Amino acid sequence: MLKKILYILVFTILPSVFASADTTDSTWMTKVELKKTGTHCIDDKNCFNRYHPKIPPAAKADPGDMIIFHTRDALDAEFRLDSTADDLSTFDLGLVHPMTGPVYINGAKRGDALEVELIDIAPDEYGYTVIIPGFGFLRDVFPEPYIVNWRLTRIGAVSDGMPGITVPYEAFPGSIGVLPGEPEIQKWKAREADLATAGGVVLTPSPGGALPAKICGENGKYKDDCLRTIPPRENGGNMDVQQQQIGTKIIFPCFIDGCGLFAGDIHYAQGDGEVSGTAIEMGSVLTVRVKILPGKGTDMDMPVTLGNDQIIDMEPTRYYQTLGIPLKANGEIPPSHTYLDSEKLLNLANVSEDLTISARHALLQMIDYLVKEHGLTREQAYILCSVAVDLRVGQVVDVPNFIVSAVLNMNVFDKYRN
Amino acid sequence: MFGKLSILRFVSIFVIYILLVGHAPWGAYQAYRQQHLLIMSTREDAPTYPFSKILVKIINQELPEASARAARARTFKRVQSLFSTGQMPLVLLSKKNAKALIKGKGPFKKYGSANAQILYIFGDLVLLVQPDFPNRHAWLITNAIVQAVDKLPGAISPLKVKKITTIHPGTLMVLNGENIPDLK
Repeated sequence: MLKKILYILVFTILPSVFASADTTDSTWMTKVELKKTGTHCIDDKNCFNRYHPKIPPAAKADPGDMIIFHTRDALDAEFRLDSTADDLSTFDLGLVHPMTGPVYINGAKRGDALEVELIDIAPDEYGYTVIIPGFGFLRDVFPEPYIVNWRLTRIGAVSDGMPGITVPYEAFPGSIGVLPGEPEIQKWKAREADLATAGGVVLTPSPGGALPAKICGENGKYKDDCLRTIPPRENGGNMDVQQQQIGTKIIFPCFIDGCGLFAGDIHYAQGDGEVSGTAIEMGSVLTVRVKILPGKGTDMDMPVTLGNDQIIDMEPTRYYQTLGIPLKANGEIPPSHTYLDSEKLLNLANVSEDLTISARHALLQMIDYLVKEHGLTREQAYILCSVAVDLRVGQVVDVPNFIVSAVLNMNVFDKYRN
Repeated sequence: MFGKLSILRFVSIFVIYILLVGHAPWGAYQAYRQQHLLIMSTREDAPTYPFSKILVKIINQELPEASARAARARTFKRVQSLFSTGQMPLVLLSKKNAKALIKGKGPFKKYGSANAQILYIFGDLVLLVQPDFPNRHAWLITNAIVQAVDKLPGAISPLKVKKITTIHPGTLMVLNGENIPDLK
């Protein structure tokens, strides 16, 4: 009998005890997961591409839960490794940007703030960087479409279209934020309409391709109030701030009960400036955790970011830097300044206290350097600047020549790395 | 066959359009579509894209002012949208899909029919054009194709094209030996 008991103990009970001791089986997280369904945002109940407080929550989560967003690329495109520039002139810009969410945060009220801790970003295997005609900082200089297709791992991004270059993995959400409330919609819409009237670059509400269609589409109840996702605003959104890395916390003011947290447009890597208009764009799985800060939203103008050494980890250990001052060609008014009807600028070679023109000056020098010293085409150089060159303000006091520098992380060149 | 003045007229409406919409990035994007002669194809009709590149090369040799480009749409849905709204007035499709686009059947069933005329035929591929595409522009493109017809695989003879009842009037004018029409 004893022999039989020992036999059962050794061969039946003990193995099952040890099997359950595997670390995989020991869990503590409460997960709220928003998965993708279908090929594009339009096929996906967890996806939308306009902002409005009436967009219903895709999920609910408690503070402390691990909220897992399966996100789509910024253009909701169907680019792939064999995509070419010929694919760029047909896609629908009305689909920009597909966002995953919104998530209703239990207990959060309008006037609170929401602290969002970025826990993890798992990249897709493919990403792209494009030049879109009419878009980007140097849209007058680069009017033709162009695409670089990237193969992604967490070690680096490489591309047949960018030989000898590996861009380090420094992922962050290009877009993350909370839904605006009704007062914010009216306020922001009005100020943007005023700017449009003055000739500024504004994308007013446009129902073509808008999702959710029932709310924001051609026959949507609120189609004239659904805001485009292109500009970042007080609710965050398309901030494109690369320092918002894994491990940092972003605090948003909440404008509706439940906040309506969303994320998307994840960037594998981006230079400060995102000058071509795109970073290394990709789909991903983003994990965040949130905390409610009661009443703190009323004191905030814009979201803020809290970080530790993430900003240091991103710094290049070897760099090349160009310096820009507000110089321009005679007879030229850069696209950024045309809306001001500033004909006075036309024949000025030197402009006063102008960081935009300084940035342009620094960037054009960097492109020249990459072409001359590293053999890149001008388009490749512009793309590399978009994903690995940081535009930085040097000073804003030495009138009239404020300085912006362009800093290239030289470690992107394989020849400089082991 | 057509002087500098004709070429200037050919591009002038595009330049005016660009100036009007240049401020907004999306507007400038639309302007790009007007600035170049875009030959649309689609991933969902596989032979169309490689042939569109051949066609673009030939057109740019014969008519460099057109600044032709290939433009590949990801889906039939996008083809229908861009073509029927006149954003891209030229599309290359296989015969079966060209008929389906015009009748709003097959892969286009969900999106409705589209008015279209034939500009040229290359074996199983049909270059469709919007009926309101200017006769002058259709004349110029057809003329470029006819001048290089031997270099275009499967291109049927101009005589055969002439017999098609649904060809664009500008195409017929070239094939009848008529002079280039004015831009109306």
